[in-house]
Amino acid sequence: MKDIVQLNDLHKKYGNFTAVDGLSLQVKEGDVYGFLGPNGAGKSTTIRMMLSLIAPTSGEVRIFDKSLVTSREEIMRNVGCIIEKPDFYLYMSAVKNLQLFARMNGVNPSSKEVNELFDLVGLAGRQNDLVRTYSHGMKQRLGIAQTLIHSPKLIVLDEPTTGLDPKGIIDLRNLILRLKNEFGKTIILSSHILSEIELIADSMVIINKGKAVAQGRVSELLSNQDLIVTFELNDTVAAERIIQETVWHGKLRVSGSGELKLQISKEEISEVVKLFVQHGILVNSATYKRTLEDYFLKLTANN
Amino acid sequence: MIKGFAILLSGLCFGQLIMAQTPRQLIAQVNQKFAKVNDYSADLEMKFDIPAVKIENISGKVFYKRPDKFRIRTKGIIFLPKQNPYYSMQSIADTNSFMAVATGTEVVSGVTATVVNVIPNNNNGDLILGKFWIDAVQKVILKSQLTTKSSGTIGIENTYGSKLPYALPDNIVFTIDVAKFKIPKALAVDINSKTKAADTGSAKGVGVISLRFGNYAINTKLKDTVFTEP
Amino acid sequence: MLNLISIELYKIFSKPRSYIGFGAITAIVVLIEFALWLDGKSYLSFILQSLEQSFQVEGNILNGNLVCFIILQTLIVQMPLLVALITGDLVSGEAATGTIRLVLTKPFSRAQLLWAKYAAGCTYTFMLLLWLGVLALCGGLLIFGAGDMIVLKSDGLTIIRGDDTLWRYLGAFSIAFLSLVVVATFSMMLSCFTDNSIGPIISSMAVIILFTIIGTLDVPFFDKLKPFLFTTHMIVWRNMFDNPLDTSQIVQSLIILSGHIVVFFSVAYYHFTRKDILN
Repeated sequence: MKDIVQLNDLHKKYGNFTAVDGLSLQVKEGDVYGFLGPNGAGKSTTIRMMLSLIAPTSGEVRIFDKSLVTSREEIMRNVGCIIEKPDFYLYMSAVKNLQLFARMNGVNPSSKEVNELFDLVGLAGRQNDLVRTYSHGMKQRLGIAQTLIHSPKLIVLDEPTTGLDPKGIIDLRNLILRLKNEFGKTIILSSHILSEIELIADSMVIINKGKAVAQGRVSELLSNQDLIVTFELNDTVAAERIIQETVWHGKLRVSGSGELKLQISKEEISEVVKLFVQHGILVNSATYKRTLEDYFLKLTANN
Repeated sequence: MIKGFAILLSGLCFGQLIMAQTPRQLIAQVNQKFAKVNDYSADLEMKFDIPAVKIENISGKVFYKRPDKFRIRTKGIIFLPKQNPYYSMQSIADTNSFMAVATGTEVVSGVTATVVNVIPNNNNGDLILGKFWIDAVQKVILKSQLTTKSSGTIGIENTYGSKLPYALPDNIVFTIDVAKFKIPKALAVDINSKTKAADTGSAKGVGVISLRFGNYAINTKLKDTVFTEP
Repeated sequence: MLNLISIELYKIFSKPRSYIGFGAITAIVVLIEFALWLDGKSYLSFILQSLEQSFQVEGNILNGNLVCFIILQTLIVQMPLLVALITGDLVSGEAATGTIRLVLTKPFSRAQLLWAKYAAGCTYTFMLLLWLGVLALCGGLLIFGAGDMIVLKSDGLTIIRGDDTLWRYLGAFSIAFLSLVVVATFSMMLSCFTDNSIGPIISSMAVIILFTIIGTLDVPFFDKLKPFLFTTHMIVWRNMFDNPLDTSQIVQSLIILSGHIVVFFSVAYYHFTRKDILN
């Protein structure tokens, strides 16, 4: 698969503050690419540089193997995006908004195509309502429809789940997967929630303070060997003492307040539970959910 | 020699004849001449020179019918003296209504004119004092200066041509005192005008209106509707 | 480019706010015409009272031409506000609602977008002025009839013959349009610098009011400034009703107004094509 997006040594400075610091990455065609980082890490700045909303201080953005500086219009004809919030002209109906953005992209979709899009994003029957009457979730769906109206090859979604309810998040996740699998789109998805990326992304980059701290295939970066498992215990002091005497002593991450965290594989969870029980420690639960904080914790420990 | 003497004698006799006329008789003769005109219409060209007013010349048509019907018809806005052009004639129409005093002769446009002051017998009318320069030979008013209650002093100067037998002038020039003219700035709204506040409005001055008549049609029995129809 | 301009026009005319200008003009013009129809003769008598002491002014004085002139004079203060209400919102309005982020990712350059917005803003200004012209001149002629026009100036009257007014009105409206384009360009320039809609509108009006006040104050220091203020030249449309026409003053003002347009647009262009979209 060829690279659809290439960022080469991208920098962005605001005075003395460096928002993006020598970031380089490649996005393969057909991938869902996760763009992960805590708030203020430089995700939005990078995405905006990719979309020519912000000019890089130095470095290069290449999309479809063309420079964004010299071939911006040609590139943008094949890019659809939502940046942060899906904002529309509130005084127009949803369908008018969609038609207007289609015209901006140089296309003039038929009403059948427009209706199909509204079906796809789950807004059928509401297309003639004024956007000001839409909820945030509906606007987000309309935003997706807007990114698809001109059939772009690359879709960039900046924090698309912000403000969505759990059902909305699931719907959006399914839609993204559908776009990838059925329509063959390449999708860049930014988020500060690791589990969100883990569920749908093929590749990802994790950035912090404007730098890439990790990047590669999700399956490689988030292997089952490296889960941070949280044990809810009645005596964490005793549990910690027991762990220190085992092979897992180097895997202890946090302990206290009724919780103990170990970086272990999925298969090892039952063995640890068994060990605690043998020593008379009551295990209330053993859960794992990948969080960015955990991941950073792991990276720090590994380094 | 005899011929020259005869001319001198006849000239003296004619002069004596004129001098023998009382001012009232002279005015009566002027009235009598103008009385030949019952009505007339004529083409008219008007020129204006009024302080603080820029207005182009305009042409139109003028109508008159004895005793006092008068109308100027133009397609645009015109400034007229408050009195009609025959105000001077009207003011001396009744020879019993005023006292006339001859004050000598003056040359007006190359013609020797008898100067007659007219003072109304009662002060109910608009005229306070009239001064007339009358061509005693042609029995026409060459010039008049009327002091009125309503409009101050008005000067009227007549020049005659082919219609002299009817005492109808080719040109009339009115000279009128004009009060200081000023538009409130709020109404004019040329707020950034270069004219400074102190300069706004013209100084008090004299306005001149010139009427040039042509193509007279005299005594054609003009209908009264000419003076009323829009 | 035409596609972009039509999109921008569509946006402008989809906003209820855009009709405030047309509504305000309609209301003001109808009100003035009604008032003049009711009591215009007294109004004129008041203005002409000093002349009427000496002269009898004859003819259809209160006619459509004069009514249109009075309306134009009255609206000179309001028109920039109505224009700025839309043009001050052209860029900042999109920034405020967030749509600028989407719009600027579309396949056209920022320069093209700015030109399109500018063209749409100028078109709106033109339509507003056209509407004023139709209501004031055509409405005036219809209600009050045609005739010679008395031009009211603080230093006197000029009477323009009726058949000499139309080309003067065309000239006056063209100059007024250029003046309003200056306002449009100025407010659009401010609009490029902020992310809220109201700021550029209020700022434009504040600048116009300030310059107008400076223009009316007879302070020697301000006299030096006046030739450089665009508001000084915005009323040059009145000079079209001078007789004889002082073309040098008109041309000079047109050059200065055009200069303002070039400067304001260049600043807007420079900033907008380079600015980072951070909101």
